[in-house]
Amino acid sequence: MVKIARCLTYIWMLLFSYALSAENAFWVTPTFPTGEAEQGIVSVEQVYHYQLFEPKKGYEKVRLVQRKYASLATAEEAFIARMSAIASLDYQWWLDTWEGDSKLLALDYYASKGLNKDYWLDTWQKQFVGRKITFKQKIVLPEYIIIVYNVAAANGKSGPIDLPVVFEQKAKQWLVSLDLRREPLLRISPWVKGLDKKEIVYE
Amino acid sequence: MNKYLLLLLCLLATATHAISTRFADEGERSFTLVEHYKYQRMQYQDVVIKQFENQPRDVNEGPDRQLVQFLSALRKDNFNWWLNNWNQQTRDDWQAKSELKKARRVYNYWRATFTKQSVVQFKDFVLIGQYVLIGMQIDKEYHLLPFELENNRWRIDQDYMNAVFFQKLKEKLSTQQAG
Repeated sequence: MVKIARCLTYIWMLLFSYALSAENAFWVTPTFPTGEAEQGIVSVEQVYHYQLFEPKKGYEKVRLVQRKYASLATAEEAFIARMSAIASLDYQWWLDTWEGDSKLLALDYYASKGLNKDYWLDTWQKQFVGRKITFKQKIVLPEYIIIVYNVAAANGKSGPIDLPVVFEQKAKQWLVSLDLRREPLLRISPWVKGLDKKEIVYE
Repeated sequence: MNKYLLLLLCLLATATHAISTRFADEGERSFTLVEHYKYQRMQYQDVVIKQFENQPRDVNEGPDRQLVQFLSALRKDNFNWWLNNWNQQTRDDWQAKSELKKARRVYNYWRATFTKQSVVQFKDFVLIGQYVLIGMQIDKEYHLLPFELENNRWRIDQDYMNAVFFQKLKEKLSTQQAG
């Protein structure tokens, strides 16, 4: 009899702990009655098209210019203007290479992180001034152009990562845009390694 | 004089040529991104909502209780209470579009959708990432609302509702209800 009682207690504890673990498996639970949880999956496939350009031999190096010779008429010229602004520590010129809404967004974000003008001038001085900047790729999308570039390390060798800058055209000027900041396309940058497909599972 | 002009034109032409030929066209490329979103779905068991709140309560009692507040605000025709069920980003967006009366238009849609005569039944409790989606049937129409925690309160995110996977999931759940 005692054995049966112990056995029943054990089974009851097992069931109780299972119920507890089932309930605690989720970080939030419904407050009205529901059935058991079922796992499901929803998939979305998206195909992106882009035009790939690579610098011709002899044109890889970005030749910096003075502001009076700079232009924003093409994305390439706008990129040269931006790099020239940075390399000449001209903060106002750098600000002028931003598209209006993106600039406000960036400055708000930088302000929230304490990244002020002095921070940028110091960063540019340490990481850009006197360094060789090279064009790596140009990506043309329907409404944007992405310039991928590399800044050499202090020893003159290629920098560890290639960086993208996105440009959009506003009033006949190509300006730096943050519009693609949440786009998976930019985050994945398939052109860097020539990826043609990627699958991501969000748990 | 003409010789200098010709030289200048040649130099300009060379410079323009240099700009236009800085990059070589490697052709059009395509990239396919497949995103899989896993979720856990619990189906409510005959949960017809009949008890509504009389006034706003600033509490965290779960996303489905917050949805009851959302519906209660509509029953009481209390715009500010209803608005407070949306997250900050949504309210900021509507504030920026105040000239279009975006918030009022969405409110009017919901007022027309959920009247005092409407029957509302909770259908789905879906966990996906940091969000909880609550599916409900108002009269014959299925609605799905995404809740996220903001300052420890459950709030609806309008931006999330625009995502392709959300629309697909809504369609899938809605079809299963109909079936």
